[in-house]
Amino acid sequence: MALEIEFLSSNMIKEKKGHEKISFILYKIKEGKILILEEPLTSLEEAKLIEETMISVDEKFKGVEVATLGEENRSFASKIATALLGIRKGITVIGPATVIKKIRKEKAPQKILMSAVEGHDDKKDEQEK
Amino acid sequence: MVFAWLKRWFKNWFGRKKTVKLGFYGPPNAGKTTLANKISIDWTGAEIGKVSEIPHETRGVQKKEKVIVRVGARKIEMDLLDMPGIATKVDFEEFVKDHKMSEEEAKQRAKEATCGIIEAIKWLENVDVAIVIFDASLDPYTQTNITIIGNFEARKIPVILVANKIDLKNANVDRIKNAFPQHGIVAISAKEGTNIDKLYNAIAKYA
Repeated sequence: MALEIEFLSSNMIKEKKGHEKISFILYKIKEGKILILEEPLTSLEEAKLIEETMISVDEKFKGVEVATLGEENRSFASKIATALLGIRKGITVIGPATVIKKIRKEKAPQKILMSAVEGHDDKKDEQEK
Repeated sequence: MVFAWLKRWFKNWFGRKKTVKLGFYGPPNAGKTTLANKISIDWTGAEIGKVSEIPHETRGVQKKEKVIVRVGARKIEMDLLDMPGIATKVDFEEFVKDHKMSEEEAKQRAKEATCGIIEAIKWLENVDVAIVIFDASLDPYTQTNITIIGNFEARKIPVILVANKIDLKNANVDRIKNAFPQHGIVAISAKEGTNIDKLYNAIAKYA
């Protein structure tokens, strides 16, 4: 079975505010897609995503796997850029737990390692981004 | 010097909350309830909740209110809030496969676990001091741990990171220090009661 990966641009994400943003992401994940967000989710948004995910969990939808690069330990310059220009560097990768078995993060150098649930990616068990 | 003393005196008498809401956060099976039980037994003689190796044993916030803890000459009144473990997925089939539960029992446990996670997230902004507990034998650099700590940082709530299970052979406290260098770490074994006094001192700094 093929993996469907969708890239959500920073502009597309910015159009969605607050709850709408989380609902939009969750809607796409429940369709079985893996999402790559050009603008990373904040910790507060991730907590909201977990909360909304838990509301949606049932026998078919088991939850999500998520990883964000670039949000923690930001430099002073990055914080200024966010405050003045609203620019946040980094990415968030999210996918349904029925498709992604596990996402593991590495700190130095920054990496996200994904392993797919058996049957979803026969050719390659682990993809490195 | 006099000014500093006065400032400290005012903070001691007027700046401190009467009762500190101490939240125990972390992923499932990190030892949150074991630690909350240890503190509760030390100062009240009673447990706060049941401990199990099966994930999501705590599926609702467990409270022990008005626990008086003595740290040096100080008495600190705390509400201990043992939170359900936060996870991004809950699969009832894992309870069936890994823990030999009946399907009905597993589905019920999964449903309750999701409600517990929601409750724990809602409590994030309501604790005064957060203890984030890690199983020191596991990789600490997970998105769930980063999200939990990031939420407290964003809300300016003091966080104490606790490396639990240091009694295990493969415990690695340095891995946690490297993952979260912006925070101090208290390395403990809640099960064996190792270094709990150090944790009380850390809590006293923020309480």
